Order: sequence, then structure tokens, then C-alpha cells
Amino acid sequence: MIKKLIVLLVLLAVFAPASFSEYGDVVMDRYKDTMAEVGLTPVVFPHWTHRMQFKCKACHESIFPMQRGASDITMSAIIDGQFCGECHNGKIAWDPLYCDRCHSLPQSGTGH
Amino acid sequence: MARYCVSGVLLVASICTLNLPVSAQESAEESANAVVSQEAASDSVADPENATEYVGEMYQIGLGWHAAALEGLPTDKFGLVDWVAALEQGMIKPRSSIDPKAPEGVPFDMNILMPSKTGMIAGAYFPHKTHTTWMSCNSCHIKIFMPLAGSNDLTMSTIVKGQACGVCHGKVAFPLNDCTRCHVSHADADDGGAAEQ
Repeated sequence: MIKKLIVLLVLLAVFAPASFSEYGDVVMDRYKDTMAEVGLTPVVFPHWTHRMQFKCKACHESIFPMQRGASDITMSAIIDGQFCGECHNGKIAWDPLYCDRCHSLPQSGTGH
Repeated sequence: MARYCVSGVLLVASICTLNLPVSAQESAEESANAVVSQEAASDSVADPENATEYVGEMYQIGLGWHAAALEGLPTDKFGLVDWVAALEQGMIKPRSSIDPKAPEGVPFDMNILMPSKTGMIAGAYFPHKTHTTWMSCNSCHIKIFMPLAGSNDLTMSTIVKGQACGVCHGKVAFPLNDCTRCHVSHADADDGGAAEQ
């Protein structure tokens, strides 16, 4: 039984990082330390599920400059209607209350 | 499956280096590359006929996990979503603005043919329209490209380091090893615009 568990854990460790993000996704981990303190993992932004409904120019450059680290995205900014909160406000898209939908990087994962 | 992890690490490394000074990340990335090329060598000898044994990073990503929402969209030879085809075939209808009342606008249309510097390969063809359909002018001009013929010294060696076209291609747009999507033959290119360089 213990052996099976170990095998399962090893398999999970191997498969998890490869099975959580798509080519083009963005990992946002600027505040990973403070996120960890409250039990949250860094954010994986699913680029392509947004691209199906919006062209790049809908968000770039007016809301998000296309440069890693250029946007200081915080939850207070989001609930204030900035960044993700431009749409994720409960009117246009779902409100920012479902933590695990965005804070979805696996604990052990490198993601991408 | 370990190869997926390696490619994941590589991608993190490549995203980290985006628009950052390369020096700090370079050694880590090089060592990761070394790991991949070792595996590549062993794999290509092991079973070159087996499609699951692709050694290229992009083929491996294409074989990996994909979001369920992307199922049914056209893919390129790597198995990554071909967004241009998806749009052209009407499979997606993405809007240009988060404001539903905003007009779609007309994409800027000008083709640029950049003759090859070496003659070993066909010149590169840049269709503005394909890009401006998705993006606004200020995504690229003037941060990445000066909008003046001959003023951008483009080489593949700088592009693979993540500059110029490489700011997006290989990260969020089709990979750089899809050579013939840019390097078309001169005869095929619709040289409707100004030739650059």
C-alpha cells in the first residue's frame, strides 16, 4: 500500500507540472511569498481561453503592456476595476471571488 | 514525460528572459538547453520513426496537455493552435475591444518582403494585416520595430534570443522553427508593400 502511494506521489510529481498550463500561458508570481502565507499559489493566466473571445488589442497595450513585470497586479487593484477587474467585476465576466480559478499554479510545479 | 518537465523549465526560463537582460539567465538556460540536446541526441538515434519521440521543444509541447476549450481549433504542425487559421475559418470571433459597442476597425494592410542576407534561404515576408488584425500598432512600434524601411537590422540570431520577432514568436505566437511561415519564396510573396533593407 505504501509502495503504491509512493508510486502515485512520484507520478503526480512528474505529471503535475506538465499538465497545468498551455503554450502561451503566463505565470504571475510577483507576490508568491505573501500568497503562500495565506495559502494561495501563484496565478496562471490562461491566455488562449481569453484569445478565443478577444483579440490581443482588446487588452494590449491599454490594460496590460506586453512586458513581463510591467503591470503591478494586486487584488485591491482588481476589485478597484483595474487590470483583470476591467472585465472580472461580476458584470462582464465573473467576479474575482473564486480564488482557485486564477491561483492555480501547482504547489510543486514549475508551471510555465 | 520527464522531457515535458524539461520543456516546462525551459519555457519558464524563456519567459523570465523576456525583455530582461539576458546575462543573468543565460547560464541557466544554456545548461537546460544542454540537457535537452543530450536527450534529443539519444532520442533521435533511438527511434526516428516514432512520432511520439519528437525531440524538438515545440513538438513536445504540442504533444502535451491542452485546455479542453481549445479542442477542435485548427493546429499547426507542432499541435499548437493555429490562431490565424481559426480566425480565417470563422471558428472564433474575437472582439477588438472589451467595449461591445466599440467598432472593429480596419486592420492596416501592408506586406513587407525582407530579402535574405545570405542567400541560403528565401527572404522573409511580413504581412502587416495578419498582425494588425490581432494587435494595435503600439504593441510593436516603436518599442520593438522602428516604422521605417531599412532601420531594423533583423537577423535570426537576435530573433532566437528573444528580440524583434522573437519577443512574441516562440512564446505566444507560432514558434521560430516553423521557418516557412515567414521565409516564403520570393515568387510566392505578394510584394504589395515596400521592400525593407
